[in-house]
Amino acid sequence: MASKRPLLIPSPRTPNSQDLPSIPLYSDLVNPQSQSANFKSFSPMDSNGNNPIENSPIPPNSTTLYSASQRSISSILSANSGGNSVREVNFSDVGTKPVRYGSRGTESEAFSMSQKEINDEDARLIYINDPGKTNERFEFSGNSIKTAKYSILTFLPRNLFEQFHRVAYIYFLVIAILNQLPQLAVFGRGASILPLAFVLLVTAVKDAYEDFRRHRSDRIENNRLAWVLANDQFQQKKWKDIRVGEILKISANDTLPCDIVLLSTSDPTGVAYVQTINLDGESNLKTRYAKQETLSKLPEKEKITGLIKCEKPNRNIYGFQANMEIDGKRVSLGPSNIILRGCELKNTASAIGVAVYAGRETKAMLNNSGAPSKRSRLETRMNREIIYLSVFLIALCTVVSACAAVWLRRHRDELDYLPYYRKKDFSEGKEDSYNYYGWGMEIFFTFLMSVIVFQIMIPISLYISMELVRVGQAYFMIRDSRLYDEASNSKFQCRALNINEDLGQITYVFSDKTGTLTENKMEFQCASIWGVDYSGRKANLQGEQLGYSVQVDGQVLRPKMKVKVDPELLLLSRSGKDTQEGKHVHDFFLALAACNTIVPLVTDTSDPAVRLVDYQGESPDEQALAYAAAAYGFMLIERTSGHIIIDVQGERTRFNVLGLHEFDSDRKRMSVILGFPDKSVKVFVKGADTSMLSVIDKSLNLNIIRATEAHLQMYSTIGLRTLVIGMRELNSSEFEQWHFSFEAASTSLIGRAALLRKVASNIEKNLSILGASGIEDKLQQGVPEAIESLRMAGMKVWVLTGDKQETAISIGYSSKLLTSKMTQIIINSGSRESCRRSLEDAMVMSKKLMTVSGVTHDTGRSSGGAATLALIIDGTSLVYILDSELEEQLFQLASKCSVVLCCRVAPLQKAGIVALIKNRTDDMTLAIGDGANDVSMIQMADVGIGISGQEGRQAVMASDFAMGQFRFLVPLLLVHGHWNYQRMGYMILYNFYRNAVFVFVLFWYVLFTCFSLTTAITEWSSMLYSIIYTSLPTIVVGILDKDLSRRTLLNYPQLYGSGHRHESYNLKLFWVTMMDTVWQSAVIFFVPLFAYWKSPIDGSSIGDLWTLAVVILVNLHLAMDVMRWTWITHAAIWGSIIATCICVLVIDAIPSLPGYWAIFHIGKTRLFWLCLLGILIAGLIPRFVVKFLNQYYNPRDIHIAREAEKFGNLRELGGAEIEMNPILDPSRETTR
Amino acid sequence: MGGEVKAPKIGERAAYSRFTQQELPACKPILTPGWVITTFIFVGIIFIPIGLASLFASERVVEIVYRYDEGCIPTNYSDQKLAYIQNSTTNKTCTRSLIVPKQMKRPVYVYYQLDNFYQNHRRYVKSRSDKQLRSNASEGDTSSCDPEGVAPDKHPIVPCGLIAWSLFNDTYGFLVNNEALEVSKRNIAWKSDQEHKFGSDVYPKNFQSGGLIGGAKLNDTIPLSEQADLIVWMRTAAFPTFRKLYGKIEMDLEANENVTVVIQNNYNTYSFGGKKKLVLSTTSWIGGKNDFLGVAYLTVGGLCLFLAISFILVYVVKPRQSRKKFGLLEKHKDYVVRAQAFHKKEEAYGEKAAFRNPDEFYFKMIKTRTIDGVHKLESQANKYTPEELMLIKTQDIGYVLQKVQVKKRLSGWIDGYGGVWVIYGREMALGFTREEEDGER
Repeated sequence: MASKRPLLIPSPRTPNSQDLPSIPLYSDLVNPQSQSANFKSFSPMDSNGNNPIENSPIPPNSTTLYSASQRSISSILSANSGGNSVREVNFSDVGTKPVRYGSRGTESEAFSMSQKEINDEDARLIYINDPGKTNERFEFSGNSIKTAKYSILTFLPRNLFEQFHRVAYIYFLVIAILNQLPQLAVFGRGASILPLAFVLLVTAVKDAYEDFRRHRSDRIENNRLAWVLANDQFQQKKWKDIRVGEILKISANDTLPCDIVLLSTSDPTGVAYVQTINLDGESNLKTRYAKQETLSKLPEKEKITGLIKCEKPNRNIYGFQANMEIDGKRVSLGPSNIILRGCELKNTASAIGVAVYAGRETKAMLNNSGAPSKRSRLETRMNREIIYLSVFLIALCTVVSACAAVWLRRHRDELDYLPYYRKKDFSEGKEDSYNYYGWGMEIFFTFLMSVIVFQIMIPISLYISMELVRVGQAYFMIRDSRLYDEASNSKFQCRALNINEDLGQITYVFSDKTGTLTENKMEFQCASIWGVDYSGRKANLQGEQLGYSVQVDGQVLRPKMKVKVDPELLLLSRSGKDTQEGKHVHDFFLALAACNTIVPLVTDTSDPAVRLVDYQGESPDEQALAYAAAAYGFMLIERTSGHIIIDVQGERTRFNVLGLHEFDSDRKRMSVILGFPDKSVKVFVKGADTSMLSVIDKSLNLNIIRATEAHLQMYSTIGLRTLVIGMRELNSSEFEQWHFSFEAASTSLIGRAALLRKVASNIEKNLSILGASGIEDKLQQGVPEAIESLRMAGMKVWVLTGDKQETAISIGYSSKLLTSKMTQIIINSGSRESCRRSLEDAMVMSKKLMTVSGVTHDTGRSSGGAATLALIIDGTSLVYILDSELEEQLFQLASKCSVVLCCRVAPLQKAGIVALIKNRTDDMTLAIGDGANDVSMIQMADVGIGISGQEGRQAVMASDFAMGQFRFLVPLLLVHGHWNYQRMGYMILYNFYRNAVFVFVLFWYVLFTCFSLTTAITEWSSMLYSIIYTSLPTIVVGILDKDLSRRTLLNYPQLYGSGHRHESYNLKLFWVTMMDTVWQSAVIFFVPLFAYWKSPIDGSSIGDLWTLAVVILVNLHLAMDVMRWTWITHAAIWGSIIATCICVLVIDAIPSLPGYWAIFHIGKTRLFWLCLLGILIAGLIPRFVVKFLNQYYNPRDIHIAREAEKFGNLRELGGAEIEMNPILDPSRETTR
Repeated sequence: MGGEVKAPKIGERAAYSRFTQQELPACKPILTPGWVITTFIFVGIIFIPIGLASLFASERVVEIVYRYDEGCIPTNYSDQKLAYIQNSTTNKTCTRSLIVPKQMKRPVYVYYQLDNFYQNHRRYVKSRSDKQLRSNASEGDTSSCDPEGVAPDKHPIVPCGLIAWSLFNDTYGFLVNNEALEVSKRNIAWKSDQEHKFGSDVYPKNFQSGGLIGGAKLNDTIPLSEQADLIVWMRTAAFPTFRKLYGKIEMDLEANENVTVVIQNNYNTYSFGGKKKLVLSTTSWIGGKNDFLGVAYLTVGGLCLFLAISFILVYVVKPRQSRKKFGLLEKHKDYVVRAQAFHKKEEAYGEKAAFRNPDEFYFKMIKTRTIDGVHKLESQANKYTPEELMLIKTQDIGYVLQKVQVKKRLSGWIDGYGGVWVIYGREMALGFTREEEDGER
């Protein structure tokens, strides 16, 4: 029986979950009761039509079947599984909301595909080895890729089109167009277009450069070579010429040029190993299989013909649905038969496949989406002030036009002959009105002209400056050595450039646990076998320095990773199967070694006699278990699709793998059916405790189950991840039945995944328990310190995890999230009513606690997180709370707590929790996570951070920033976030000020020119003002200025509070700045006015004085506020002033301008220089005084810290005395 | 432009220079009292002498200002000034005598001052053609000169535009002791203008030939570069009240000397209420007579000294308090908050104490000792063996959870339970869930 191998294992990693209600095949397998349940639960969905199901991110899955049929079992089990069943039923309710998130979303797409039969219209037909025929009907895209946005021809229109998406640019364009009208021409044509053209040009050059780089990389990519079958032999061909339907040959370590369906590989069983690091960042090897039907075919010898019918190109990299007609047979293809573009072939000499998707239709390219675009909070706030500025602008224009109206009205009789107005025009021979359109129109034109003259009141250059500054800030963040992870060689990544400054204002941090707080490197710690706990307390690694090893053909095989072992258990495992205990231990470790999808790789070492066995697998838990089994003498040595070889205590044993039901998140378990050498057949199952306990036969060994449950409880309490292992021996009729249905299911074309799952659930029942394992997921380096820093900085840290409550709490303790001083509120409810009551109780409780112990907490803001309350809530309760009226209560409660731990939460709930906070407060939220399950939360939060860790790149792809480790969050937020916020806030205010000063100077002058909008400052100077004269220093300061050193910021996390209090940018500062603006502009204008009143000064000369005065004053103002002068700052500020002088000289050296040589004349007079000096000093005095008084008598934290930093009493004060937030408490040490 | 900033290739470790780490050597100025006071004193010390010097200079300037637009109208025309000035036949000559108050060293500058004449009006300022002024070739370039671009016969006016058209045409003659004083027109215009801006080959054409005469006529035989009055006039003034240089008297005028002025009052300022003044002025290093700058400097300098003194006083009288006691970031408002919290707590504790249970007992009562008024737990360091600790760690919560489950199972409540456990550190109080209470009822 065992000789007849079942079909190769289809291994959909994340199976497509849907099935059709009834398959005749099953009727004899499914017991009547569950069948009826089956119908019951699915019929309403069918009546609903497919759409809601297709949209649901969590498909109503077959677990709902279990919960219906097995409630009787689960109800007498534990509360956990009871809650579980309830939860999952409700999950489908939650799930019907059409929310897409992350990979789950794409899965559901695929699942919607899979439930349909691929009909001919939807299908993509590929004739193997016949690219001509393949491509004749449908125009499939070729394999050349194009990531570049523009070509030479389309660059100008497209780039302009994209740039004009900004409202600000349109404003400028409108102004420039207005200025072209002859009646309104305030500036010359060239001068008015200049600023806009400059901004557009800078952006266009930047875009062009980026695009050029993309073009170059495209060209390199497209011209790589691959072996393609042509005329019965493989020839080299450029990647871009590969067409769908062609047969390709890939050698080891080659990168795949397009998505191919495997036909055969150099391995006789048709296995190919691929590394998908370019695709999803996972570095372990994955197995792909060629179909048996095509295995033996050699394309050079015989012509392969066939037809592949597959789904349309889609983004789901974990799903593929197709079938292949070959030699008249119809073979189905799944995700395990396709290798995607970008993967690398490893450990396989060669592979042959047929191209199915090429070029931009490959899954890798379809996944190449741009970074998400978010808007920074500061920018949103800035828009409010922009509105104020617009109001100013309109007010100024109104004043000017109203005055002009009055003036015109009062002088209406004189206008005709007024020497400086002369309405009458005799030049045409007849009397005419020269440039006069009536009183009303004149006023209207005056208004428009004043808008043109005062246009820079709205600081358009601010937008471009902000972008440049952000690029600079991002550069420094990326280059920061303290954000560089040596272990994974990953740099900090800035994927969203718009929200740098938001990092300085974060209040809520939502963190994932696994892989974010922990390393996601699993270590086997202890096991409970047959009710006996082997915790390995006295284990020592030293004793077994070399670990376990076996001798094979004179060579020593040794597992790559050493595991500390429990000597007692080791002894038992070596004693063989003689004793009852030994037998159980044997089965347990056999299960660990066999029940997985690990691929052992034997690698050579420097010592030729020693070879290492490296376990490659998709799940770190499985790796840990396999290494553990190896350490106890059950070393998995070889795995093919048909059999595995396990070295059992030095004795090679070959087991036939008769079937394997892969792990999926719905069943939460996996099973393998092994044919033993003695012809017995056993099924080994391992899985999460909740799902396993429901399928274990309670009638047997109740004591053992109880004991194991107790051990599980204990393991999870000390923070271990637990798995339960069970087994069952199959008799031949059971096996036959299973084999029949398994084969039927695995070859079926429709809803295969669901059918397979049904088969699995039929075999995974009535198991006898073997034991449980505890795996430790170590905390990442520096996590407790990081969390403490974040808390001291006034941030609230929430941990959202899928782990069990006990595990979560214990991790909470070890990561210093929870301390023994805290009062924990645990909400753990199974119904809406009880949730409500729990929340109410908790509220009452928290109020009570507040009044006595937590008074300081009320005053919390200055003291950060004086932590007294910790809320622990589980996913089941959240199901009832989120999206209901209880949300508000939860929010109230949570906002009182400084720590919130959510356990057992689903990905969608994570997003829900983030939304709970985000929708109710103005505080900034940050989500950090590493896995696909965190994507929804990362996208929901204001700032999303992805950890580029073990679990692939999904989170990174969705994130705004990506980094290697959780602890980097501290320098990122406390240092860079603080700097960025402070710099950006200052820069915005300064830009407002800078432009407003200039506008006010113009405005004052207009009041002395009959409101006729003459500008003394030349039009060229006014256009260059925000481009050359004053722009560079603000950008340099925006990028480089630092208020405090990195060390200070890290030592005193409280300083982060300046961001929470909006200290760098707020309405008060804005108004103060504006008042300063009015004063300074008045000084600039009126000092020369009075000094030169009744003097023969001409307009151009005094205009030059004003120009220089305003530029130097504005730059000195900046210089006064600079906190850290490096040579770059010096160069920028003084350089700008010098550049201005040069520009003014150059402009005045042009004879065709009216102001010719003015500066040289006025520069010779002493009055000029005295005026300039007087303006500068008088202009700056108020700000200087206020600044000093503020810093000295009403200092903010930053000022104090700066002083301390400068005068060195930081160290002498020491950390202890600065304890405003009593977070450090010695008693916690005893708890840990 | 939310594009992704491409991270450098993996494996290439960037050079972590001081620049990329933002650790460039830098100077970090801080406004300390000493610094600020020094600055103010310094500014004061600089400004006050300058202010005094310029006041003094301005004081030394001798200026004679004589307004003649009203006075030069014959009494019979005093009600119809406009008619008088526009009538070409009336006698416009007007002779006045001025007394020199102080000695005026040469050169004595002769200015005319116009009030309420907006030479900076937009229409006026724009109405000129710099090209035309510069070279003969661009004679026809009058597009910007409306409404004085072309003569009625379509020939271009040179110089065109309102500015030239409105050229000031009053003239002054001076007599001292019946001897004519020569008024030199040399160097009254900028040399740069004469050389580069006004062409030596450009001659006035069709000037003031239109229907409306604006002001002075120009001699057609003299090139523009030599027309000093025009060049001065074409430098449009910055403010509505302005002076323009008329000429220089290269002679000292003694005090109490009587200068007779013969004014040709031609220019029409009556139509818009402008004033005309004749100004005779000497000059100093600061320019004309203007006290403003001196006063401003004195004010600023005085203010600075005043600020410096008051800062010194404040610094001495009420220095900033040391924050050492409460730590670096401590501020008064934090102290207030803490004090309030303390008193609130005091009240709460007082209330608690009032309703105290006399039989109350805590283990802490016997397990703590009072050291310096603070309750300290007796050393817990070696209380438990590692095994015991392990047991405590693992089993307390676990045990309770287990008990709850067992109890639940027995009581037959399946569908979950809700409730709150409150765990005070080690001591645990378990508030049983309502469902269970209900069940027992």
